This record gives sequence, C-alpha cells and structure tokens, in this order.
Amino acid sequence: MLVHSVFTDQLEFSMRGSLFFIALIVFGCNKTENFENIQLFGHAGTGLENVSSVYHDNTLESVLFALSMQGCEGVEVDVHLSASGDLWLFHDAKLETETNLSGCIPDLFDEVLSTGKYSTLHQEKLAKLSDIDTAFLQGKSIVLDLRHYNECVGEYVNVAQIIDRLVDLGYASSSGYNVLVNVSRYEWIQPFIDANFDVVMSIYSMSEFNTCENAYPDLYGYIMKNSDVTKENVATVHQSAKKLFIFEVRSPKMTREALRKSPDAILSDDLRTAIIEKY
Amino acid sequence: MRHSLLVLLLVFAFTCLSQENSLPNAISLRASVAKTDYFTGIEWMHSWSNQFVLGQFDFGYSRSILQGCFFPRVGIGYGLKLIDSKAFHLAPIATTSLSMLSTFSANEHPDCWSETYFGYRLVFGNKWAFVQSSTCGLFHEMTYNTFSGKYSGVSSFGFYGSIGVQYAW
Repeated sequence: MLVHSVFTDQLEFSMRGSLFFIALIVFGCNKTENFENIQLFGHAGTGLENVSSVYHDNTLESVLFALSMQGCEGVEVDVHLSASGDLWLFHDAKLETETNLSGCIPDLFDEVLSTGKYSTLHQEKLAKLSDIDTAFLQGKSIVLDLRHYNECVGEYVNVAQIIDRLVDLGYASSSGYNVLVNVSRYEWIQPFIDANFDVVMSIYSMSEFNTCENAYPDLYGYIMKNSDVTKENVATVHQSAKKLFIFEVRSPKMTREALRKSPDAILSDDLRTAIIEKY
Repeated sequence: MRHSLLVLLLVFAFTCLSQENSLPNAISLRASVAKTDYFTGIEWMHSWSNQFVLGQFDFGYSRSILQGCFFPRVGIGYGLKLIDSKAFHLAPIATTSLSMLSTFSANEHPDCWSETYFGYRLVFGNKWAFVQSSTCGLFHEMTYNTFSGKYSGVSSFGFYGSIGVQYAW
C-alpha cells in the first residue's frame, strides 16, 4: 500500500514536472535582463516597413492594433498639415509612393484626401489625427512627428496652423495620456513650447544636443537613431534632466542593443520583437 | 476559358505520366521563411498512388534561438503528384498550420497564427532528395486585445517557402 502510494506520488510529481517543463517551453521566454523602466512605442503604429505587420504604417488600423497590444506603451505617428488645415497621418513626402493619390498633403484639401487609400491588401484609408479616439490613448503616449516641409512646392508649412489644430483637438491640454511633439526644425521649437507642448527634437549628433541645450533649455527631450547614440550619450542627456527616445530599432539584436543603452523609450519598427526583449 | 481547358489538359496529362515510383514514406529536414519568422524543422510525408499527406513541425528561428522564446508551428498538408518519375516529383499542395508565440515570460494570452496555403512541392532525387516548396494564401493573426479583453483576429496575405533534404523509405 505504502509502496503504491510512494509510486503514485512519484508518478504524479514526475507528470507535474513534465507538464511544467512543457508549459515552460511553450509559454516561456527566457529573460535575464530587466528593462522595466524603458517604454516601448510602436513606430508609425506597429512599425515602419514591417513585413510581419498586418496593416500599413500610419493607418488608423495600425495605430489601434499597436495600442491594443499587451506591452505597448504608446505610438509614434507622422503628421502632415492639409490645405484645409487638418492633420493627416502619412510617412512619405509624396502620396503616389504608397496610395492611389498623387501630390503632397499640404497641397490637397480634405475632400480629396478622404478618398485616399493605401495600395495594400486591406486598402486602408488615409487617416486623420482626429480619427484616433483618445480613449485608446489613456495611460499611454503619442509622439507626433510633425512634417515641416512641402516637397512639392519647396516651402515650409505654417506652424501656427498646426498648433491651432492641435489645440482644437485637445492635444495641448491632454488628460490621462502624454502628447509629445517631435520637431526637426529649430524654428518650430519655441512656438510649440510657448503653446505648452512637450517638445522633443530630432537630432543626429551630440554636438546638436549641445546646441539645442544652450538655445532651448525648455525642450522635453530628444529623438536619436539607434546607430547615432551610445549608452554614454544617453547618460549625458539624462544628466541634463532630458528624455531620450531611440528609433530605427527592428531586429532582436538592434532592440537588445537599444534597450541596453537605457533610453526613456524605444520607437520600435517591430513591436512584437521589442515586447519579447523587454518582458 | 481556353486557358482553363489548357490547364486541365496539362493536369490530366501529368497525372497520366505518374508512375508510382516514389517510396511510401519520407522525412525531411527543412529551413523555411514565412511572414512571422524564419523557421526550421521536420516534415513527414506518406504517399500512396499519386497522393500524399504531410505532417510538419517547425520552430521560429529568430524568436526561439535569438530571443529565447519557443515559437512552434505545426501543420498538415495534402498533395497530388502531377509528375512522379524516379528522380523527380512535382505536386500541388494544400497546407494548414497553427503557430503560437508568447511575448511575455508567463503570458496567459499568447499570439496565434493560422495559415491556409496553396502552392507546390518539388522533389529532386529518390531515396535521398532535395525538396523545395512554396505556398501562399490566407494568413490569420489572433492577438489579445487589451481594450476589449478578448482575442481578436485579422486576416491578411501570407507565404511560406522552404528548402530541405529528404530521406525516403
């Protein structure tokens, strides 16, 4: 009886152990490093030129899909001002590269842009910034990469119009979510700071960082390419009490490298890869 | 219409050419590329007459090896040999597979993909052979939506291409 009981116990223990081992293999990811303090944002939704992504970048579908993913803490979107004064999501300078329309968004009115569709299987429609329901942003961040140049006519876009539209949309006084305005033109920094936006500047070197720090001490932070920034650079930015975000992060190796630099956030081109690396 | 008839005629002609030269069982080691990852694994084939069934097991290379997660993919398939000579066979195939990946260390909600593809399978050789297959079709992704608290799915176009070495007996 005793032998039988011991045997049964051993068998049960061994079965439990096997099941645990199988579960560990199937459901487990082996992680040794802790990246808890680094936020993960989806670059242009679920990633720019991401072959495994179901949706095209900068579409409403892509943004909502990214925000709905466990572990995604925000999104970055590329924003253009239309001739009607509204804000549209699109990455490239010219529409003909990706859609059924041609020309540049700053030259086109909303009536035309609303007929725009991406040349993809899902034929996602061009989306306005206002299409993103802010209820989905609660507890998260949105980085607005504002495009300042109209390549079709070779002119700069009117910054005051963009600020007015963002204020109309409630992005200047957002509650429950963070709005970060990403600019890459020096002349645009102060107007956005004056309008109470958190401004992050795209820079390509630490000498640019020093220039910005001297000229615009109220900047919220900086955005840099993964290949342009080192761990020491990140520490230097943090010493100035500024945030640093890293973009152009795609492969597992690049993602791990970027996380080890300890930035404040990563704008990942493959959100699933980044989530696996972080958690 | 004329083209469809031509295709049917070719299919009939190739089916008549089949000579049942293949050995009934085969196993292959293969490397593949898909929408979700690079995969490596094994494929078992059992054939009779000019038909065969496939059983596949692969794991995602990037996720499993480079990222320390286990990313399995299991699939089954069916094929019909159009050309079946001693050293070569060509067959259209239909496959369906399921793969699963947990992005977190202890996740109750792993991401799942089901793929239903059509394509072809080529075998060069007899006992030892080189195998190549390409398929494409419906790719369905199921992910946990944190807003609704439920799984939601979206379909898209997917592909699967593989090369491998086969041993038959």
